[in-house]
Amino acid sequence: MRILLIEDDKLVADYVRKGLREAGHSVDVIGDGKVGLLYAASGTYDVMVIDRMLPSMDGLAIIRTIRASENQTPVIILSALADVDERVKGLRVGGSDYLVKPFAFSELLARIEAQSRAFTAHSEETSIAVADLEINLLSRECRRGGKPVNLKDREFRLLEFLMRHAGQVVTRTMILERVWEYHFNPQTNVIDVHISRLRQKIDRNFEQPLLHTIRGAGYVIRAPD
Amino acid sequence: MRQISLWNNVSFRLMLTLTGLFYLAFLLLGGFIFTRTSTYLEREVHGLVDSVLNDAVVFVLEEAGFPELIEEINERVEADPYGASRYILLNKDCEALAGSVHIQETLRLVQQACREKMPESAWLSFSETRYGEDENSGMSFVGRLINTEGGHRLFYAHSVEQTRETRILLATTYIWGFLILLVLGGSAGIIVARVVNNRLEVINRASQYIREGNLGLRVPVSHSDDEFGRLAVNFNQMMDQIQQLMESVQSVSNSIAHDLRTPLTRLRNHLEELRSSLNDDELATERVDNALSEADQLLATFGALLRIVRLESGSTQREFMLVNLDQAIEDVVELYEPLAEETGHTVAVGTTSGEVVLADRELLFQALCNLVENALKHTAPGCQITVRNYRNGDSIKLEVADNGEGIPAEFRDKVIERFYRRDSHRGGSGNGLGLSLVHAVAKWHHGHLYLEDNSPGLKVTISLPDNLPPQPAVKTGQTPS
Repeated sequence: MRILLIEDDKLVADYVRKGLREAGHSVDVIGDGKVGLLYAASGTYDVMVIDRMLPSMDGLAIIRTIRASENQTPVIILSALADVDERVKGLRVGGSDYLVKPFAFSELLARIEAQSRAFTAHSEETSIAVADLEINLLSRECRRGGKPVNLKDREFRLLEFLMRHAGQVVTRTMILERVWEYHFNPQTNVIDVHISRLRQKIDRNFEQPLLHTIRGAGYVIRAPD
Repeated sequence: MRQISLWNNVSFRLMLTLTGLFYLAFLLLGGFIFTRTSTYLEREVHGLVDSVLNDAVVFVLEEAGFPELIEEINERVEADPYGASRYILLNKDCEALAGSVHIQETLRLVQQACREKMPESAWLSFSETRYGEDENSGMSFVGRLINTEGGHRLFYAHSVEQTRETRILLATTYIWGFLILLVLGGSAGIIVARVVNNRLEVINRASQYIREGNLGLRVPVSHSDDEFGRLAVNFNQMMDQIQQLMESVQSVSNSIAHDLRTPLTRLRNHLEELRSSLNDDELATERVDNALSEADQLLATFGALLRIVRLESGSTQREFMLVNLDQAIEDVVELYEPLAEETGHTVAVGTTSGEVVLADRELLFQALCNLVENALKHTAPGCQITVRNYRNGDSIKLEVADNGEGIPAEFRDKVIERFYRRDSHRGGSGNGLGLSLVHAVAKWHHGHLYLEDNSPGLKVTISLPDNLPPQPAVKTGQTPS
């Protein structure tokens, strides 16, 4: 993936660039708002990561400008402002996701990969399949190896979220945000328990597990190699 | 504008007391003047009666003799038979010899007084019957009966009509004066109270807005250098200082965020890097994983502390939205139900009331999560946790109750304090900020947090004010979008 990072904090920028390159992406790093806008407007990136507070031009202004020119590249906003209405403000001007500083790199990577997927996925899909696991989005049914799996509504939404991002790591915070629609960090491993319940239903009695835990990062659902 | 009850108003009550005292003084003064004037007028009449009697005895009787007196009396009576004077001369058997004998009732009265041997010093007051339209009849008199030579008795009475009229005039003057005073004084009281009140209300309203989080707001200062002007100036200066303090608190918390959280995050990222470079060394991987979760715990503590500081300083600005409390408690129960099952607890929705409040949805949910997490952490397996909401008068309650061992009454205030953990729980997970955050969330919504005995167990209640504006009755069951 081609990723544009507009961030003036050198430490953060270097660290993110290094991490993204290691994950196999190509990264352009710009430390200035106006120059960043020129790069962003060129429109050849898969995902852009933009800091809110930048020299010479505000991050939100960059997003507003490129959205006005009908550039729909997903943008992840980085900001030290953690309040919910700041997040709302960021999403309202056209940001696709909002990550509060300081952040763990694995969180950013997961969100970047989720965005690229969200951008290319077709919303008209009626069913999603990973290996022999299949969900039907219309009838809200789930089958593994042809056998029906009985899921509660929330479990189905959790599985749907994981499957829409098949092959990509999703973090606990992302799950809470997208499946439960609350933005906060629970103190306990409450999400882990939901995941292990889901795992019980879809992976038990099957030779190849599909739902994996990535320690220190999150979860991923993927077809066996 | 808020309707201010006059009775709840110091300036109005002061003005009322003041005018009341003024009325009282006016009434006392009036009464005093009235009695003094009456006594004076009475003495005047008495003096007149005495001098007439004295004249008759000294100048007529002693100098001219008894027949002259009879003649003089008859002359005077004939000159004005129904006037302001009544003369009656009686012999020693109380038979009339001369005077106003044509007025029978007065004559009989005087004769009776004579027979009863009324002492000379006594005063006789009487009224005559009014005869038709006769102006001069029906008057009141006061008079005296004295002894003269040869056992004869002389009676003279003078009309007190003049005195009575003066009294009535005085009384009506006073009553009118009092009524005018009542109206003028009362309205002056209300006007003064209003003026004082309006000027105070400006300051009051400003402080209310400021308390609601508009820290930059100031009281408008009038240019008059009176006590209200000075109060406003002082108030504003005090607010400047408070704002400075708040800003420094905020900058301290921001520096915590940047100076501590940022390097901590960097440390965490280095650990992550290290972990991915370890390949198959399982022991080392496990150690790095432990370090990672320690770092996460620290970050979570900083995050929670920052959130509390920001909520308590009122510096955070958030969007209020309509929050369906039934939905919120269903969500929290659904989120924690699998975890509870794993720890051997049960979590259930209790009563729901369908209440909706204007609140911050995320904060309320976080508070409920903290309460449920606390209950899971601090009660023995097998305990039941119930989450419910209900309305109690003007407030809406969110309650998380368990049937565990509870918290002794003397610790209930303590557990709300930041970083406070009861010794028995010090070893466990958690950072001692859970309830502090719940408390901050309740306060931030202008609500309260109550910890009570659930006998057995603990009952934690977040009490929120009913802040929805009254809504017109809507017939259809549509929910506003």
